[in-house]
Amino acid sequence: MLFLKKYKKYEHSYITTSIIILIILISLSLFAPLLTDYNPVRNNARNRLQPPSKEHLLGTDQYGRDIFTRILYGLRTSIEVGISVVILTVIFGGVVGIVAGYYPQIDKIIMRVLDAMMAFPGIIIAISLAAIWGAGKLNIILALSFAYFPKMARIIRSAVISIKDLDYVDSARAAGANDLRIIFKYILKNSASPIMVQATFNFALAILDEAALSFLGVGIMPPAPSLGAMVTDARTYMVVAPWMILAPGMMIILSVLSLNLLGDGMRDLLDPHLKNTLKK
Amino acid sequence: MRNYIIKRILLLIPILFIVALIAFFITNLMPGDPVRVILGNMAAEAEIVRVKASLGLDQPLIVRFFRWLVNIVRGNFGDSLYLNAPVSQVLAERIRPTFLIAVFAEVFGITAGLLLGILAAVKHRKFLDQFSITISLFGISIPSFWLALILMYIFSVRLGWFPVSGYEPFAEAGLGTFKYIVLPAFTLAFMQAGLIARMTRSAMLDTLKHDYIRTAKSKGLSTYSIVFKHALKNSMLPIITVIGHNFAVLLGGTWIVETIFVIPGTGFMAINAIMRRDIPVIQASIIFVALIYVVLNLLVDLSYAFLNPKIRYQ
Repeated sequence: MLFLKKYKKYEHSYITTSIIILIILISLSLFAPLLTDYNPVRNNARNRLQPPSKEHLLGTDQYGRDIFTRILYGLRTSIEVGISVVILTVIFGGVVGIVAGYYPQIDKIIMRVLDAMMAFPGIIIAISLAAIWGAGKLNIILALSFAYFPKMARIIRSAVISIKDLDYVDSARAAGANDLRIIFKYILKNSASPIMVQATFNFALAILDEAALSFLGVGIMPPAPSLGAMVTDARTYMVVAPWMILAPGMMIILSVLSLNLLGDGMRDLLDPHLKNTLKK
Repeated sequence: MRNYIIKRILLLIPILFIVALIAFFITNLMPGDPVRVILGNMAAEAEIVRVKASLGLDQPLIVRFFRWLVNIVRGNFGDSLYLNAPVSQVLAERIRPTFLIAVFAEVFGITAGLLLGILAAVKHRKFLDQFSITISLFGISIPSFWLALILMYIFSVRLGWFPVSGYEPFAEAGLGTFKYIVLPAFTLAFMQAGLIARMTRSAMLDTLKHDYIRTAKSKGLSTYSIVFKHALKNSMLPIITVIGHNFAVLLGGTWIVETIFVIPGTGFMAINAIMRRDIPVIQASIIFVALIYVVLNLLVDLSYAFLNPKIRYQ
């Protein structure tokens, strides 16, 4: 890929750092069952609200569940939601963006609708939709995808417009390639970088917003582990068990921060305009 | 210039129409029959039919949409199902705390963001640049609800400097109102500062490499006047855009922060309305945020024309 070829020439520590952190986080969540002996949802009344100790590295919550275990499984939920939202926004945004960019006849209408959708902040659309459809993992994935896809559609649309009249696309057309072939083989392949950068930022945003929705009680429902819902519990016990609030928050920050860092790094790397600025 | 302004304002009409359409259909897909909510579970079937007809809910969805649209254009959002008052009146009562928080957060955020961004660009690739990048990255990566609770724990629970939650209007508490505002406003400001700092830094870096900056340098102008008079002025377009775009995000943030600090503003009202399925209030809250976004972005676009004659004379 274009992205990997450029990497060697351009030593950018952000990307390396963030990828290392992300690999660690993903393996922590994948191997959660091997890393801890505790169950993330089973109550243990005897161990209620224990401060951090050797048995419970980060303490326990109001049901006696191990917080370290819960943040590993909570991270798993965050990553699942994040990846699903990224895939869905690329699909929705891709279809709408390609149709708008490739067919100027309906571009104006689609753009007005997207403009209007972007007038609502993502979190507001997501809260409203999650409240309508009801809480639950699938519903918040759909709600967040619906909230984020207009921006992705606009990015893909402008990539399509900037590429579709270039000479090599014209020559493919002259050679008899049909619209579908041109879109997939020439246009999408060459607009991959802005899509990847936006997808990375969407991943970060999805983790943040999933946590916010779960915090408000319209996201992942208890007892399923979610970092946002853990903060809700921690809020209730803030005075007697302050350790409950730090771990889930730190986990959210660490994952969102490294994704944002990766997005920034990729953008610098893939944007030739900015690269010249930096080299100077 | 006048034609440009008129054209931009006319363009608002289709966008606002679609905004209203989205707000109406999102809320009318809500499960739960509002008439049953009003009358309770024990209501007789005939009574339900009668109330439905009197509220116009027996009409097809599209007829209801246009009736509703005509009403909201006149400023009539209907009555709240719970608060026994017209929604427009409720909204007007609740707007003040939200406005205070938003303005404080924005002033805070712009000041800190500009400062961090300028410092980073001027000290490009030095320690201060790294420092400011790190702060602004945290600004966009910390969940606002978590930051709000941490600030509450440190400054209210531990140190006791501010009340844990609640609000007193300005008319009653005078300057005492501000002690309720500081923590929520700072929570939201942190994120705005992060967004603004990032944009300021990259816009300034872009501007600083232009030839006229080199000319200014070789003329012997001070760094201060180069940065503030030449570079900042020419970097303002993208910075203003990011501020305009993100004010609505800030308003979205008030939904969460007001709920945490129990401040009776529009955001707290919106979340409560969603939990209670108070549809007219939800519609008004959503449209309120979208309207502010649309109007602010109109102002941003007009400021382009004001700042950049190339756009004005197109």
